[in-house]
Amino acid sequence: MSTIDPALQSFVRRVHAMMIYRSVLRWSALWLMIAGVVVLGIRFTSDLPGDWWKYLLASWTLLVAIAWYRESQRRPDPKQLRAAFDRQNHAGGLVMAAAEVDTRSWEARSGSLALPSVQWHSGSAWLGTILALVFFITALLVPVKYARLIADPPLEISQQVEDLHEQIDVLESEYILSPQQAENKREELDRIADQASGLNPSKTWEALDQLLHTNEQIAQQQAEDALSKLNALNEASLLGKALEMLPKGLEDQKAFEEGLKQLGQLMNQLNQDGALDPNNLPPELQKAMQQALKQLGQGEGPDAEQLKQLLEALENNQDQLLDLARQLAQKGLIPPNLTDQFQPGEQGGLDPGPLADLLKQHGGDFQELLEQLGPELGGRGDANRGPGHAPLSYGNESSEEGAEFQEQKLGLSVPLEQAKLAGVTITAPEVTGGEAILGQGALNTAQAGGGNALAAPVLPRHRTAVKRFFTRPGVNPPAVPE
Amino acid sequence: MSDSPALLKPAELDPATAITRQICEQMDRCLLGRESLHRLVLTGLLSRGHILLEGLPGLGKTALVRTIGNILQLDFNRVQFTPDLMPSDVLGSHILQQTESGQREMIFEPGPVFTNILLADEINRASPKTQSAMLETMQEHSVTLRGQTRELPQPFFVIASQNPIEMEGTYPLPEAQLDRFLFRVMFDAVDAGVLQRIITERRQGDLPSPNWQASADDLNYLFTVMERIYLPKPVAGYIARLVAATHPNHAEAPESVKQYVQYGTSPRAAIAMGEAARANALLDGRPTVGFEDVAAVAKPVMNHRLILNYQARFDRVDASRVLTDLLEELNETGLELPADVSLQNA
Repeated sequence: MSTIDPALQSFVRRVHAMMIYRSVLRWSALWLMIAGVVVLGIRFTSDLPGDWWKYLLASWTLLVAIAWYRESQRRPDPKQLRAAFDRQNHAGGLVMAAAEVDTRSWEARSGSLALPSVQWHSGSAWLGTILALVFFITALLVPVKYARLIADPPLEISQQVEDLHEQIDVLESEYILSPQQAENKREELDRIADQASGLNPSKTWEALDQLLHTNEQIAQQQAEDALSKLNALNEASLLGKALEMLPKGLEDQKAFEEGLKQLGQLMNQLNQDGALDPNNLPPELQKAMQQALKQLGQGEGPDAEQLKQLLEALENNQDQLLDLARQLAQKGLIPPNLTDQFQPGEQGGLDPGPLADLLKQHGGDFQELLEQLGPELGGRGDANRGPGHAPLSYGNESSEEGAEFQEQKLGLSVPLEQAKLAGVTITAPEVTGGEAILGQGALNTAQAGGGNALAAPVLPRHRTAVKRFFTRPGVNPPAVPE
Repeated sequence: MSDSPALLKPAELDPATAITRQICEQMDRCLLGRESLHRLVLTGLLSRGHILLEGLPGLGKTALVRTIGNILQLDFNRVQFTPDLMPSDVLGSHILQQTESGQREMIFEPGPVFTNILLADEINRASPKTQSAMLETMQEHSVTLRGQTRELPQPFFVIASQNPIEMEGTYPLPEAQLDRFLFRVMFDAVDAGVLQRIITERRQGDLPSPNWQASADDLNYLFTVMERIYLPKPVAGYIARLVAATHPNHAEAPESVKQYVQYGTSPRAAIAMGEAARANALLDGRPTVGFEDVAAVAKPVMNHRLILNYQARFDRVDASRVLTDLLEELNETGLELPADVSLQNA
């Protein structure tokens, strides 16, 4: 065996070790970066497992093994390493020749061969590794609060959530929502609040808007029902008060009985519609109302005390409905124009006193009076009722994302040289289905400088009749257009 | 390894090294200040190659050849090449002579080429016809005239010189003939210190006689040892890659080769480089050729074989610079380590 071989083998091992070291260090920098990102990701989303360092150590060991295997596969050609060893030692080809011929007689003369050092300019690799290590440590130690701030900036919706909670409370307290429905809505609201993220605020806003819209729909439906009941209650209350004020003479007994009959019908109708909610009344008033209803149903009139209690029950129900409207309005669940309809000024326009006189005149027929005095009674649904114009209310701006103009094919026009002036208008031209609109405009028959644009031509078959009209006796007709 | 050729033993190589050392010493003693040149010329002679000396007049080209012939005890002839020089003036000619029997026959009169060392002075002044007459002598070491081939005495070397100035009326050597020269050696001016020694020690420019001369046996022994200098395969591979990389379309060609070289060197250059590297190892007393031997002879071997393009002429780039780049950029061992990894001597 040549004495060169041990030194050469040491040199080969040194080169291989350096290549492995180089790969490991460079890959470690990349590994630290990836590990830092993974750690950050885990910390953003959940908590690091307790034995996280074991996973890191295992993955780093795997990385070293891969680097070793890869460098083993890429190991330089031994002949080239031998040549490099020869060159670095200035051996004059003796080391290279030792692989081919017997050189032992010269090896003693050449002396001991020095191991060349394998130098790697590792400054940039170390710098990268240190930076990656700093990043990894930062990812490991950065407070999760800040980390999550970076990953998921908060979205301030506490006020909106509180408002919605209050709306749900009102809807539940007013029995508009069942407790189960209210609880479902609260859970949904809490879920929206938990998932609220500054990265995607539109999603949260849309969900809140949807919830608000649902609440408003429910409340508005309920308010409209309440308004309808309130109107009926108003009518019944008005009738009751008028009956109470009727003179109790024998000649008025018929009108009084007819009024009571109609009041009974109204009350029954209110009862069937659920406008008379006994739950809203004190126990003694509930009893009195039940009694009055029973008598009215049997065609018997209540006495004065019962009528008084009945009116009190009606007013109580009216107050309940007004209170409901007020609470819904306070929470912004019903629009202002609907709220205005609950105002006292809007409740009928007749004083019970004159109504009592009218009832007396009409024999207690309240329905006939209503038909005659409907507008004055302030019945809902008339054209002259309600605010003149609705106040403008602005909600959140709608997104323009995905919006696009609808394509519209414009009609073909005639060539410019064939065009003629049909008139001048300040309105936008009408888009037709491709037909030329010449000669069909509103100004077709208008004359420049005067005349009514709407003047229609007198057809020949009408000419005689028109002429006869203007030449009738006692009329100085204007000039008839020929 | 038993089938491998046996490497020279130290006892076999050392006498040869001693002879070469003595030859160099004698040359250095006779011609002052030309140590590296002497070594290079001796390398060429040991490689049995022809040498083209290029330099200004009066620099000692003739003295060098005369001294070598004197030390090696070889025959030496000098031919001054001129435009009217004919091939027969160099090779020899047949003349009509009357024999003793009274008959007349053509007798060959050898020319000056029939010698061991021929100094072809200012070879570029001869006509192409005469220059081409040298081709056979340089390659085949023989002369063929009238259908008869005559071997030249061995060893046979042509040491030609040419003058880089006064190019008017000259005939630059064709590439085919340049390729037959092993080396082209630049003959530079000596420095002032050497000149002072020449002035004081060489009255009238007379050369001192060598006090030691190599015998024919010494020379044969040197040639025998030369045959056994071992060229390892990685070094042979490096020579091959080096020659291949002189071609601009080769993958390993450096940028300067791609930019300035029109034609690379021939396989004859690779053969010459291998031989010259062996001789260089012998002069260093080593039985094997190393990368440093190749580097020592690469430039003289290739600088006259490289044909540069016009771009090189415009940029005033010569073959020496291209070869310097080539030697610097081509990795001898072929070991491809990453760019940021390097080997350093311990």
